[in-house]
Amino acid sequence: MSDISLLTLIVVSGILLSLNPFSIAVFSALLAGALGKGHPKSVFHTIAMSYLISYAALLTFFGMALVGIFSLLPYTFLLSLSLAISVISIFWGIVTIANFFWYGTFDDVPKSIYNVLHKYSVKKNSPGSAAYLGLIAASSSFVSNTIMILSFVTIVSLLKTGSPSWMLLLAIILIIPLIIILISCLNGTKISTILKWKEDSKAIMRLSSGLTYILIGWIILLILNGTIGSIL
Amino acid sequence: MINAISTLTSTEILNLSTRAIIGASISLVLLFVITSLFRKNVQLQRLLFIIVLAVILFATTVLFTTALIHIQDIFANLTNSGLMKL
Repeated sequence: MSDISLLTLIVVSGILLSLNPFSIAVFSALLAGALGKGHPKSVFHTIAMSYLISYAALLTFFGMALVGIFSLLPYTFLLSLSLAISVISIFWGIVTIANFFWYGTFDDVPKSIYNVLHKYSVKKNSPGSAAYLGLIAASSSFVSNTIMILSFVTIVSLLKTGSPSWMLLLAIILIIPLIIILISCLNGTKISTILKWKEDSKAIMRLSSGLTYILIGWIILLILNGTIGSIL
Repeated sequence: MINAISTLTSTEILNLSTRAIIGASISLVLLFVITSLFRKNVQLQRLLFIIVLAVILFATTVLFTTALIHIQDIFANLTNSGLMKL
């Protein structure tokens, strides 16, 4: 697999996985809170950027750390681990697809976190709280984020292109929908319109995420069975 | 299944994997088109989910088995060449 193919895979999968109803809802609540408080434009921008930077930074740091750890693993262990990760990714894809059929049945975000999210998005609306909120939002959907990053790290490690910059690229792609929401909000789109769009398409978002998890799992298996790339 | 697949050559594994992936992808696309057409029929939704699950599990089993055999070959080569000790 060439670097161009890997780039295409990360960009396409990243875009499909970035359409996450949870992160869109949290960011919309933060923007609604900032608009409600009547902050000046500069503070509004700082709040939004604090959230986006901390959200992306946590994912990048986690991904880069995993790339480093994977590069230290013995190759035979890496192969066995990759097999396990592909199965976990496919299993999580099936769980996410089940959410498309019966929405909300298998939610990975704990219900106890909602009060904390409300506190830092609406009640305490400042650049500092927004940065903290970004960290909470990135870590709340721990299972899905961990499986997603683990799968990408596995692909990058197996193809021996273990450059940590792929993880930075992935994190940037994951916040693209949030940046688009911010731009459309600045251009006058109402938060209620964004939330209505999110509610209407949340099942489809889960379906696209689920299929992407399965696709990534299959790609890992295709690398392992020698169809894609070359192992030894 | 493992015995049957273990006799395959690398080209045959490649063909089998490609067919499994293409077949599963086409089936999934068709299934989700049908699902979106009959979104309100609960009984049909359950049936379609089971079919989707079966398609995914079938393709995964084929790929997993071929990957397992390929990895075993790599381990055997490493052991034979003495690289495993490094």
